[in-house]
Amino acid sequence: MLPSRRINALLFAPFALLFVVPTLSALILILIEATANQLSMTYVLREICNDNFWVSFRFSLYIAFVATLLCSVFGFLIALLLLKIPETSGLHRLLGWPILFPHFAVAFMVFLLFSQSGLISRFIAYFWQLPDPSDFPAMVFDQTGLGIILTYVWKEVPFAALMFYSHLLVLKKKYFNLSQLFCRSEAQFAYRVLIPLSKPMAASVFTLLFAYNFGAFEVPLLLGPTSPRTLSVLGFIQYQSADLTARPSAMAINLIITGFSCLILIAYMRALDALKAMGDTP
Amino acid sequence: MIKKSLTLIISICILLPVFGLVYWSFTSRLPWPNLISGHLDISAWNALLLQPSHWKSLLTSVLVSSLTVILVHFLVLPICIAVLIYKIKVPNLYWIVILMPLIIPSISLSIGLHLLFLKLGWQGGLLPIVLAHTITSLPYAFRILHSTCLLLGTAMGEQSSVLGASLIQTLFFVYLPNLKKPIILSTLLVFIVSFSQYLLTFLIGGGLIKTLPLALFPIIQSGSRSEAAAASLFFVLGAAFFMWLIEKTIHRQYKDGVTLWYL
Repeated sequence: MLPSRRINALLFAPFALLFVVPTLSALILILIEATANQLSMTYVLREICNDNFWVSFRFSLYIAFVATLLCSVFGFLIALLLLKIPETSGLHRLLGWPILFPHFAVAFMVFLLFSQSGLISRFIAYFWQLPDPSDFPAMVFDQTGLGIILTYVWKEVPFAALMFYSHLLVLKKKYFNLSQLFCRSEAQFAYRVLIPLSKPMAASVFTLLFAYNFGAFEVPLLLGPTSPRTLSVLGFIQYQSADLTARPSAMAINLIITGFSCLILIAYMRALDALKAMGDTP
Repeated sequence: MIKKSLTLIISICILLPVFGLVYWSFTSRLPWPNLISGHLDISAWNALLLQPSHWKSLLTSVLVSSLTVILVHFLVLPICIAVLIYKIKVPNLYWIVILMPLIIPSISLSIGLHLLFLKLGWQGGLLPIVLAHTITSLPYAFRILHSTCLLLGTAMGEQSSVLGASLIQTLFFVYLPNLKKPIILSTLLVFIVSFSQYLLTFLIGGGLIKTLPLALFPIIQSGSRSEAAAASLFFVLGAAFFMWLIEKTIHRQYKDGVTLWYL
């Protein structure tokens, strides 16, 4: 059936009008606001030269990188475990739970467990010795961002595990019988077949989670230290500030965040292309 | 043995924080070294559940998320039809824009949309919020439905036209029944993404439209521990209940279970 141009246009019209146009114009508006005239351009330049900005940038990058790395590695290992146990064991279902919890609730759960007067510090004080809550290491609101990272790990490891699992399931179906000829053990099968063939999937999961963790706002707002702030929190505070002169620098920060994300987007698209080349649907 | 113990450890890691949340929601005023309070305290739940504004914002949230689900599918399903019946490839430019809301941080996207809606003069209504939620959650639905369409292929539809079915018949009796499972899946996913949206609703709604995250976030930020724990649980239980309801309603004649859990 040859597509008539008119029907084609009609089917795509609502999508283009209500999704593509607003998304693009929202991003273009940020670009315009940040670079419209010489004055606002100076704000972009000032942000780039600002030490505070770079501290925030590094902090965001560090949190995103550590959290994403942990999520990908643990996610992959759990996916390997999922392959080995029957689907009825309940773990598959349990891994879906964190999808129901919004990030702010997870952040609060981490606070309840890991803060200096949280359940874990009480547990230690109850069974062993802990003279004062301040003897428990600061794990939330701390400079290392441990609380934020733990939140992301709890929320995203299951997600990564289920993504990897669906991929590994396909690989196993395709190659397991063949591998019986060549591989001596299942460990060898995992090492020689599953890990190399999971690289495109790993790249796609990694970039997706990295982009999210880099720009997420609620968790660092709730659990982050007041200094350094992550870039997203900094941008939001500037945007909401009653001081109108803070607004151009908010736009400048957001422009830089968006520009950086576009780089991640390119990486993500390349990962998806690699997946498509493997015959896995995008 | 190793498998069993690993499963156990992972389950504990998932359940322990949830348990902590439930535990704290029934405990108030527990000074530091104490671990066990000894009695059940329901004052936090009382305060939360007796507040009519929370129930109202729950309903607002359900309304916004349901409208979002409908709008998302109204936008995505025609493209699925185009892909299935007319074998159109989605243009590359569209792909880039579809992936954007997944990659570009919500803070930048929200501020951009806020600026856009300010320019258009749409401030604080229900529909701008629905449109904004649609933009952030559409990519999930699109990827699920588009990849199923590619997997489904056109062979079955061609078969039915060979047998003399019209386009409409093919659509309703061949393609849509086959798309049912992914539609349920994308409905659930879009619903939960829209349901837990905080920043976007906050900026676009200007605080006038109070969805559940908007009502509960201040409690979590500055309320007492037990209040915040109860608020978090209230949110999760609300989301779980409505997702269960959606699954049950769409799914009535459907035997083999599709669940979000296996996404």
